[in-house]
Amino acid sequence: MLAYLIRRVAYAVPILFGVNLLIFLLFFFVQSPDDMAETFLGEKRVTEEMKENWKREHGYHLPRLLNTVEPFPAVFTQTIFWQKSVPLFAFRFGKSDMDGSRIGAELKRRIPYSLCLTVPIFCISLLLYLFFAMIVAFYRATYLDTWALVVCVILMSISSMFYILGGQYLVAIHLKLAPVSGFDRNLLYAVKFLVLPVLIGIVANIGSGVRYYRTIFLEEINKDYIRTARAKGLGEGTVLFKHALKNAMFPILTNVVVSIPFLIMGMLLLENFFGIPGLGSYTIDAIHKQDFAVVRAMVFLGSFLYVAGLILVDVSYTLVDPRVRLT
Amino acid sequence: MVNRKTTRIPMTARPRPGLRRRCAAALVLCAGLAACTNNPYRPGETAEPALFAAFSTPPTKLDPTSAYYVHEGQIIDQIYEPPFTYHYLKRPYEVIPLTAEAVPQPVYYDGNGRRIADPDPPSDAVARAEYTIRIKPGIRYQDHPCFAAGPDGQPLYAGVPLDAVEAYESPNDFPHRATRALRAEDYALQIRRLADPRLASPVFSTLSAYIDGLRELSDAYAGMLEAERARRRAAAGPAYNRQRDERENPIRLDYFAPDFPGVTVHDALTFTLALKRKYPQIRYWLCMHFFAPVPPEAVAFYTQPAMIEKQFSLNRWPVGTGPYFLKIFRPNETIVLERNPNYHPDAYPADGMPEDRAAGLLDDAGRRVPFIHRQVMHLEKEAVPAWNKFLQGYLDASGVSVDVFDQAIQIQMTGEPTLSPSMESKGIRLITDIDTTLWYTAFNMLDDVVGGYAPEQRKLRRAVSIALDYNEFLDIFLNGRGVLAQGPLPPGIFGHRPGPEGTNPYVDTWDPVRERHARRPLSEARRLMAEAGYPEGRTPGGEPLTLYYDHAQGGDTFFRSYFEWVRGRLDTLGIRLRERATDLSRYRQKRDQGNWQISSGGWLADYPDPENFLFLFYGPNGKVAHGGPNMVNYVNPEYDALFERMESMRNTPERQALIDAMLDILRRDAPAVWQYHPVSYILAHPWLHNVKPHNMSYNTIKYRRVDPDLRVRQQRAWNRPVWWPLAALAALLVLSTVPAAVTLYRRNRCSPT
Amino acid sequence: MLTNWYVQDVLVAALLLLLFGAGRALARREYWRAALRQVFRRRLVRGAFAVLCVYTVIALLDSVGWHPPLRDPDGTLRRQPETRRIMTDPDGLSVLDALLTPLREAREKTYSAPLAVRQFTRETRVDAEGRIVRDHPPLRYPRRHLLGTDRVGHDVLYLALKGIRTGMIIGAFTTLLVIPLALFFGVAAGYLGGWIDDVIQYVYTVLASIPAVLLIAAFMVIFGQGLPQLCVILGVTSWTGLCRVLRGETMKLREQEFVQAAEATGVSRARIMHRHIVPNVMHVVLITAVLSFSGRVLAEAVLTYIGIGVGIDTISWGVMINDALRELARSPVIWWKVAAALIFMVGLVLPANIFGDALRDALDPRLRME
Repeated sequence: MLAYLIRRVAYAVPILFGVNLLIFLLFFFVQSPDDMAETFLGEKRVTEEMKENWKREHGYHLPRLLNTVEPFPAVFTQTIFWQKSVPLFAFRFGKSDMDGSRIGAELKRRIPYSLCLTVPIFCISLLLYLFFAMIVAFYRATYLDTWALVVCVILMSISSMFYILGGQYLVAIHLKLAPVSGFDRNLLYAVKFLVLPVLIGIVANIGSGVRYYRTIFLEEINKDYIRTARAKGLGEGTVLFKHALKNAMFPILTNVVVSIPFLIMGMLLLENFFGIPGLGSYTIDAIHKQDFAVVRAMVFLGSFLYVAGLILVDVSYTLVDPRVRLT
Repeated sequence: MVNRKTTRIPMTARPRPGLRRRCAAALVLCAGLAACTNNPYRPGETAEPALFAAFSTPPTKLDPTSAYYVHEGQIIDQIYEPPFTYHYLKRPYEVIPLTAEAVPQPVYYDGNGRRIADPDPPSDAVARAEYTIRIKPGIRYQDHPCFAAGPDGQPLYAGVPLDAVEAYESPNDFPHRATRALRAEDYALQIRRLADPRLASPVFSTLSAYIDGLRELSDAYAGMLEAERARRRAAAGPAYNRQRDERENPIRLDYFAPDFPGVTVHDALTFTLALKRKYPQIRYWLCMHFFAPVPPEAVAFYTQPAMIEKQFSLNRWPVGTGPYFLKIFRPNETIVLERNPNYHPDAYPADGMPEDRAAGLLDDAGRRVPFIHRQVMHLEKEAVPAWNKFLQGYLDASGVSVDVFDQAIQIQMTGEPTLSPSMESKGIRLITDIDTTLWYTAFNMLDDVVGGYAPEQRKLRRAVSIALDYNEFLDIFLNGRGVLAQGPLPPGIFGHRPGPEGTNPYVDTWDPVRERHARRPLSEARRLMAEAGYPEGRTPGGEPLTLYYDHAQGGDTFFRSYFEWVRGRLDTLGIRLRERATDLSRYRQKRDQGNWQISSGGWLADYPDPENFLFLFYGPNGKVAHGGPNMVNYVNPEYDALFERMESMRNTPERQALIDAMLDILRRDAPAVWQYHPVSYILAHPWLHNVKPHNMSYNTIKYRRVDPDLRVRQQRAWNRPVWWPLAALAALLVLSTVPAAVTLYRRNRCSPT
Repeated sequence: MLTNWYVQDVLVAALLLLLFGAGRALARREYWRAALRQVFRRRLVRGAFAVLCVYTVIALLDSVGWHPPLRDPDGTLRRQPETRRIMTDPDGLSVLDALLTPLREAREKTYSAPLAVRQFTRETRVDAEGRIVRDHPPLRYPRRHLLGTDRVGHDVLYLALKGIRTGMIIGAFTTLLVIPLALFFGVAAGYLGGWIDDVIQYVYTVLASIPAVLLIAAFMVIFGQGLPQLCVILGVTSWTGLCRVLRGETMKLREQEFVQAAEATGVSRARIMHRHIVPNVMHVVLITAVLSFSGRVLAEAVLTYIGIGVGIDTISWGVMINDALRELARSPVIWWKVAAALIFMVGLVLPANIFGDALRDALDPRLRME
C-alpha cells in the first residue's frame, strides 16, 4: 500500500513538471515580459525606464532559460525559469504582478471562503442527486421516468448564467429573503450570504447530476446479481437501496472522490456574482486584470489538485472494497 | 545604511481560543434565522453614525506620490492633508488654507534676483517665484507605530524581524503606537519624494518644469541609487540578485542629502516653495495629495524587510493628519476609514452659495467636523447588486446608471429632471452637477486623410463633427445627462461662455426652444463632404471613403454599442468606419508614433483653470514630437502664441478675450469632435446630509452627516421578506409526489407478493 | 457574383464534405443503418433532428456570402473611373443577411419592446406645437420587431439568428479538431502500446490535469479573445477525454478474435487500425461528438462572461446574455434580449442532447458521459 502510494506520487512529479513546462512556454515564450510590463503600467506617461523598472521589480528582466553572462550556478538560477517556474513545486507562488501581494498568503486566506461555498454544495447535491436518481431508477420504464428524464435534459440545456441571474433576481431582490451579494469574514455572519448561492449551485446541476447517477443505477440493476436477488423474492426497494446502491458505490466514488480536491478552487461564477472573496473570484479577477502570476499559480494549483484527486480515488477503492489491493 | 538594531517587540494577544467554538455553536442557530434577512451588515452595524458605500475598482496605490486615479483619491484625500484645499460650498472653486495659516501671495524675482513689486508681472519678466507657507501649530498625525519610541527616544520598531509582525494584518495591530506634531519638514520630504525615480510619480514631468531643481534632484537620487547598487553588486559577487537584495535589504535613500533649491525649511512650521517661472496654478497643485506631508519616520518604518514582506507600505497604509485613518484595507473586499482621534479642530463652512441655505447645506455651519465616525466600503464589482442595495437602503448614496434612469428620474415639461414618485416616496434626494470633464473624438492631425490644415481637410472634420450628433448619443446612452460641448472648456471653468454666444458656429446652432445647443442639419454635413472632395462619401477613385477608429476597448460592452452608433452616424455621410482594435500597449504605441486615425479622448480637470484644458492643443505638448498630452498632435503657431500669453494670467477680461480667440481657432480647425460635458446625478437617502458634489477634491466625507435612527427604521420598513412563494413551492413539490405514490400503489397491488 | 469568400468558408466547406463523406460511409454498413432506424423511430428524436437541421441550414446560409456591387444614389452600378470595372462593396454580405434585409435594415434609435409601436425609453423632444415633452417617441418600423430591439436599435431576432453561426462554429469546428486528434492518438496508444502508449498517455494526462477553465483562461489571456482562438483551445482541452475512452475501447478490441485473426494472417498494423479498429470505435466518436457539442455551446456563454470567450466583437448568445446582465436591472425590465438568447440556446442544446441520448441508447447504452 505504502509502496504503491509512493509510486503514484512519484508518477505525479513528471506530470506536474509537464504542466509547469507548458505554463512556462505559454507565458514566457508566446508572451514577452515587455508585453506584460506595458499591460500593467497605467495609461499615462509610460517611459522605457518605467518599463525596465517594472520588469526588475517583478523579476522579468532575467533571461528565460540560460543566463550566459553569469558564472556557473547563476547560469541556471538567474533565469526566469528558475526563479518563476521551479518554486511552484515547493508551493512558492511568488507575488502578484498587479499589486505585489503574496499569492501564497492570498490563497491561504481565500481557500476557507471557497470551502464555505463548495463544501455545502458538494455534500447536499451529492445526497440529493443520489436520492432523486434512485427514485427515478425505481420508477424506470414508466412515464414518470420518461418525464423525469425530459425535465433533466431541459434543466441541463439551460445556461448556468440563467440560474444565477434568475435566482438572484427572484430571491434577493424580489422576495428580499437573502442579501443581494456580499460576505463576512466571520462565519457566523457569513451564513446568510451563503444560503442563496448554495441553493443556486445545487439547482443548476440537478439535471446532469440526476441523469448521470440514474445511468449508473440502471447499469447495476441490469446485472445478474440483482436478478438473483429479485428472484429470491426481495422487494424492489430492498434490491435497489441495499444491493444496487452498495455496488454502484464503485463508479460513484470514481466520479466523486476525484472532484473533492477541486472544492478548494471555488466556483468562478457564483463567487463573482455574489461577491464571495474565494479562489473563484480571485481567478476571475486575475483574468480580468491579466495578472499572469496569479493565473500561473492557479493553473499549477489546479493540476496539482487533479493529480491528488486521482491518488485519492485509488486509496478510496481499497477502503470501499477490501478485495482491491494496491500493489 | 540599514539600521539592524534588535529590539524586543511586545506581542499582542492572539485571538481567544474559545471564540471559534462559540462561533460554531451559534452557527447552527444562525442558519435557521439566516434566510430571514437581506441585510448585508452585522446586526446593529447601521445604527452607528457610519457611512456605507461601495467601490467598484480596488485601489492599488495609496502613496500620495503615485496615487493618480479618482478611486484612489477618494480614499487618501480623507487621510492626507495638503497645505490648501477648496471651499466645500463656494463656486467658482475657491482655494482656502487647510493646514496652512493662509494662502500666501507669491513673491516674484527677476533675472538679477531683484524682487518685482508688481503683484501680477508678465511671465517673461519672472525668473523665480516663491511661496512661503506657514502651517498651523498643534496639528498631529494619526496614531501609528512609526512614531512609537523606546525609552532611549529611538524608534521602537526598527529592525523588526518578520515573525514578530507575521500575525498583524495592519500597522494598527502593533501594540505601541504614538503620534507627533506636523512639521514643515514633512512637506519638504514629500516634495522631494516626487523626484524619487523608484516611485515614478505621474506628475513629476509636469512639476519638474516649474519647481526649481526638481529634475536635478531626481538625477541626483538616480545617481545615489546606482552607486549603492554598484557597491552591493561588487560586494555580493556573482550571486547578486537585485530584486531579492532590495527586498531583504532595502535601499534607504537619504532624501535630504542632495541640495534642492525648490524647497527651503525655515523652522518647524515654515517652508518656502520656489518655482523657476511664474505659475499661479501651483496653488491648485498645493490642494492635491501630491503635496501632502509624509513623516520621515513612516518612510523609515516601512523601509524594513519585514514590512516589505508583509506589504506594509505607504502604498497600502497611509500615515496622515486628516480626519480619518485607514482601519481596514482589504482591496478585494472591504475598506474601512475610521475617525482619527487626533484630528485638529476643523469646522463646517459658515458661508456658501445663496441656494445652499435652502438646500440645508448650511444647517451645520460652524460645527466641528467630522460628524461621521466611520466609512465602510465594500467591493461591488457589478452595478446591479449595488443599485439594489441602495434601493433597499443598505448603501447611503448612489449614482444613477443608464439602466435605472427611468426608474429613478422623471423629466418635467420644462426639461428639468426630478425624482420618480417611487423614489420620492422613499424620501430620496436628487443632486445634479455638471462635471468639469471633456470628452472628445480625436483626429490625428498628422494623418493624410483626417489630419492636415488645408480648407478641404478642415471641412471633412467639420462634416464628421456634424454627423456625430452627441445630443442623440446623450439621449441613447446617458438619458440626456450631458451638455453638448462647444469647445474644450466645460462650464464652471473660467473662459466658458454659456448660451447662444458660446456657440461653435462651424458645427452647432443654438436651439432657443429647448435652450441648448444642437448640431447643424445633416444636409450641411453632406455639402461639406462634397466641398471636401468626397461627394456622397466617395473618394476620387470611386470607393467609399473608409476611416479607421483605433481603440483598445475590445472587451467593453458599452463601447461595442457606442461604436455601432458612431458607425451608423458616419454611414449617413457615406463614410465607412472600420475599427482597429488592439491591446492597450499596442494602442499606446500607435499613439506615441502618431500611427492612428480617429480615436477618443477625455480629460478630467486637475484644477479649475482653463489652462488645464487648453494645453491639450498646445503645440509643444504634442504627443509624437514631445510626448505631451496633446494626443491629436495639433500645431498652430497662432494658437501657441496666444496660449503662452494666456497661461499665467489672472482671470481678467483680457484673459477672456484671449481665450475667445483661441477657442475660435480650435473650432475652425476642428482637430477634435467636441462631444459633451457629462452631468452627474447623485441620489442620497433622507438620512444622509450635507451632500454637495465637488469636482476638484474628494476630502468631503468629513462634512457628511447621517441620522442612523432614521436609517434603521427605513431599512426595516423597506425590507420585509416575502414568504408565500416559498410555501407555494413546497406545496408544489408535495403535489408532484402524488403520481409517484399512485404508481407505487399500483405496482404493489399488481406485483405478486 | 460569388467573389472573395470568407476565410471560414473553406472550413465550412471542409466540414460539410466530411459530414457528407462520413454519412455515406456509415450508411453503407448494415449495423449503422439498423441503429439509425432505431434512433429515428421515436417522434421526439425526429423532431430534434429536424430542429438541428434547421439550425445547420441557418448557420450555412450565414457562412456563405459575397460582396455586393456598389450603386450610386440613382441606382446605377458604380464603375471604376479608369478601368470601368464594376466596384464591389468591401463589406461582405452573407446569404442570411440578404434574406433578413428587412430586419437588418430596420434600425431603431434604441430599445423597443417586442412588436411595440413606440420606443421603450422616454426621450425629451419638441412636439408639433413647439412644446417640450418627454415621452416614448413612435418607432420608425412599428410592429416589425418580433423580439424587440437592443440598445442601439438592432433587431434582436436578427442578432439571435446571427448568433446561431457562432454557436454552431464553436460546437462544430471544435469537434472537427477533436475527432482526428483523439482518434489518431487514442487508437495508436491503445493498439500499439509500449512507449507510444506511454508518451500519448503522458501528454493527455498533463493536458487533462489542468482544469479546463484555467487552461482556457491562460490561453485566452495570452492570445486575446476571439472565435478562432476559442475553438482551438476548446479543442485542445477536450480531445483528451475522448482520447482516453478510445484508447480503452481499442485495448478491448485488440483482444477480440477478428483482430487476432487479422494479425495472424499478417495484415499490417496500420491496415488493422484503419480497417478493423477505427470503424468499430466510430459509434463512440459519434455519441461523444453530439453530446459534447451542446456542452460547448453552453460553455461559450460562461466563458464570454468571464472575459475569455469570443469577445464582444462577435455576435453570439454569450455576448447577448452578457449585455443583458445590466438590462435585467432596469425597471421596467428589458427581458427580450436575454430571453431571445436563452430560447435560441435551449433550442439548439435541447435537440442536441435528445439526439445524442437517442444515439447512445441505440449504439452503446453503457457508454457513460460525464
